[in-house]
Amino acid sequence: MLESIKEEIHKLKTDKLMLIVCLIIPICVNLIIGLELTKGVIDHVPMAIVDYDDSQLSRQIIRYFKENESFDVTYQIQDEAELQKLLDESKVRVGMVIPKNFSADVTSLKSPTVLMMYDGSHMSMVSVAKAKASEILISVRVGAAVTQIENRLDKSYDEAFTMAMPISFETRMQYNPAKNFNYFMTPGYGTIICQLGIAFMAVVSVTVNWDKEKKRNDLGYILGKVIFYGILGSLAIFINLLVQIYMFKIPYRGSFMAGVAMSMLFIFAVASLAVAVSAWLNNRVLAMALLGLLLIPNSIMAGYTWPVISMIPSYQWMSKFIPFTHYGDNIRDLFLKGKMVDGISDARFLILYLIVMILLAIVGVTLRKLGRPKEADDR
Amino acid sequence: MMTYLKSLGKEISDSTKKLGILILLFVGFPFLSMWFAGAYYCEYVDDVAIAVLDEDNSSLSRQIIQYFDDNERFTVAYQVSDRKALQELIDERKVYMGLYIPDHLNDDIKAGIQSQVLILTDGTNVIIGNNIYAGAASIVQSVSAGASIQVLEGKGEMLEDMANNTALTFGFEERMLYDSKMTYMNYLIYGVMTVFLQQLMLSSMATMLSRNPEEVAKEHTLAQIAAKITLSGGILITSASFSVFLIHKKFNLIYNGSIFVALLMSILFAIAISVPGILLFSVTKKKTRFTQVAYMLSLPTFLTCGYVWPVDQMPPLLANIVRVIWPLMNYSRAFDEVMIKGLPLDVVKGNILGLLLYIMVGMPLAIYVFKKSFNSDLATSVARDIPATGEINM
Repeated sequence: MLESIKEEIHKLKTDKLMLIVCLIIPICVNLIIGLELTKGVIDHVPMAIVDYDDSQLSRQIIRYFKENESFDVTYQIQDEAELQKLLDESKVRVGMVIPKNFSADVTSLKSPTVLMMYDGSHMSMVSVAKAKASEILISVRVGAAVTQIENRLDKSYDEAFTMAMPISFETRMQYNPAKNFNYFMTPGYGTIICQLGIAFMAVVSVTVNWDKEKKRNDLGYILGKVIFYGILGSLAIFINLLVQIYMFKIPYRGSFMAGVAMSMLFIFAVASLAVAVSAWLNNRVLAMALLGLLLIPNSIMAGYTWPVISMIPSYQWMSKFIPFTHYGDNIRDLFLKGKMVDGISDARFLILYLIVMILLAIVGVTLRKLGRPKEADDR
Repeated sequence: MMTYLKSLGKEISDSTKKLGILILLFVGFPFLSMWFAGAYYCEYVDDVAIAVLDEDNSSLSRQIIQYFDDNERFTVAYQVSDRKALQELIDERKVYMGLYIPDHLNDDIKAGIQSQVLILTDGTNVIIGNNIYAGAASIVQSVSAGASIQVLEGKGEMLEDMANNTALTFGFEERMLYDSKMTYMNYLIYGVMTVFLQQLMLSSMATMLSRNPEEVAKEHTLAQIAAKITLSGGILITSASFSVFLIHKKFNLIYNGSIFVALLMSILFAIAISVPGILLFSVTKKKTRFTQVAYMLSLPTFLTCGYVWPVDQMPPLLANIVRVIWPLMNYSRAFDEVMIKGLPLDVVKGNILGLLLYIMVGMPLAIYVFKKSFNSDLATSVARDIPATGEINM
């Protein structure tokens, strides 16, 4: 086992690529993602407004949109055709049309309609804009209703307000109230890049000993590889956790030791998978392609962004066997919630996965030794 | 031209003999596209489990609960008796939303006292949180307006129509253009496919370059590289077009774009992405080492290309650096909007010029580095009488 570890340490010392792939690229990617998402929340969504009414009420609505930082009212135009063109050319993502006689119709209780147009091709911008626009318009509508009730029923402001809004709904988004994308994405994506680095180096690490005179303990050999890459990967994740917490100020509310322990289990599981693939396949390019297929889609298939509960049953079933499924939500929960939901059973899965992969690796090496000797793939 | 055609013929002949490259070029794209698209088969996050704490237990409170249960986005999975239990269910992710209806809700409304209903959502996954918020907001609006109408009518102070129009002094119609359902499939899949084109193009270029790097570096380098790009790009773009067709048929992927603009952008991107491919191969020199680095690039290049997080929301310096060093930013989002919205050539001309500029500056540089790298290798290997593609550390 020690020989196996020494072999990899020697590679680390002599091969700059290992250092680049396992440590430098993951850290750089973390820095880039964190920097990219510094704002955390999408704002200043470009918007155009057509105001056919040009009344005090319509100008008030426009002012609310202008004052709200979610929008950037870049165009105030004359007709809908122009608005459509701006949307078609992606110059704006939101459009609003206030109809003619809007204010008069509100006063005479004709319930006119404001038209909101959204560019449905850009979900991340539009989902923010739609929620904010609804909030603004509802508050203006309640305000208008209060005025009507005051005037028509001769009520005080407070009475009118209660009649206009007898039930108020308060929505509290817990753990990430600002819906900050940096908090949502970076803890998991920062780890995915670490697992790729470790996996793509470990997947070319196993060689078969054809020399019958030089005896080799295959269990020790495999364990040595898993331990080396597990530790190297843990170091990468550890540095990235520190970058996320201290540099990008992502709130970490849980036990740091729990995060480190979970990360180590996860990266050891990934290292064991890569070593197992390496043990079975002599063809390095094929081994990398297979591992790439298993690991690169993790951010999607493990439900880190698009939830597993919304996938079809076969995908839900497959997701159970992806190590990242048992890690991604847990590390984000440690950051944002302060505790894992089902950490123990996920840890148990990762340990079991690690053991199974080590056994598979030993079987792979043994089977290859039973076959004809092959030259190591050195492409 | 003759050299180019000869090289192309040779590339075709060599490639047909290798199963690996054939799978990569012909099967890779449709397989990956269908596999990823399958994850987004369901259009929304539906049937989200929610818990309810109804302290009022009146006909009104039960009606509110019924609204949520009837909505396809929610399923009332738990009815609890206190706030602690409600919070625990959210903390343990047994539910993603908690609805708290306070005591005396119905009586307070009748007495003219405003009452507050609390909606607690688990915001750790922003996508689920947004879906819940959007679903809850529409229910909340109707319940709130309905209650107001009842109050205005109930006191005999207004007739039904007047009460309606007072509570809803104005309405707002929301029109979602280009993708009326705003699904994740339509939102993400074109972007993911641009990354597939990038990765498969990088892999196939490395495979083809690794066959005869010294020969390519020695003479007619541009013609030989152009032949490799033509073969890889040609097959991959055809394969990508077939994949779009498949997903369109199977998963109703929206396709409104101009084939000419989409193809033009894809061809330019295929050439542009060969630039970093050639540079990376010149540095790594071996296919395995190239692959180790190239596979690492899919995630960061996708995250920084402005697809998920818009370019104008990034720090400008970072956006400019990314644009200069990697061509995906000029392709991914623009290609998506060509396909979904049918953006015309005139609107994407900036992206096209960006890709052209990248090619014009990058390709000579890439060829220079490639020649320098493999010509010197050849000289060294001849001198030492060892294979030219021997072990080289970066």
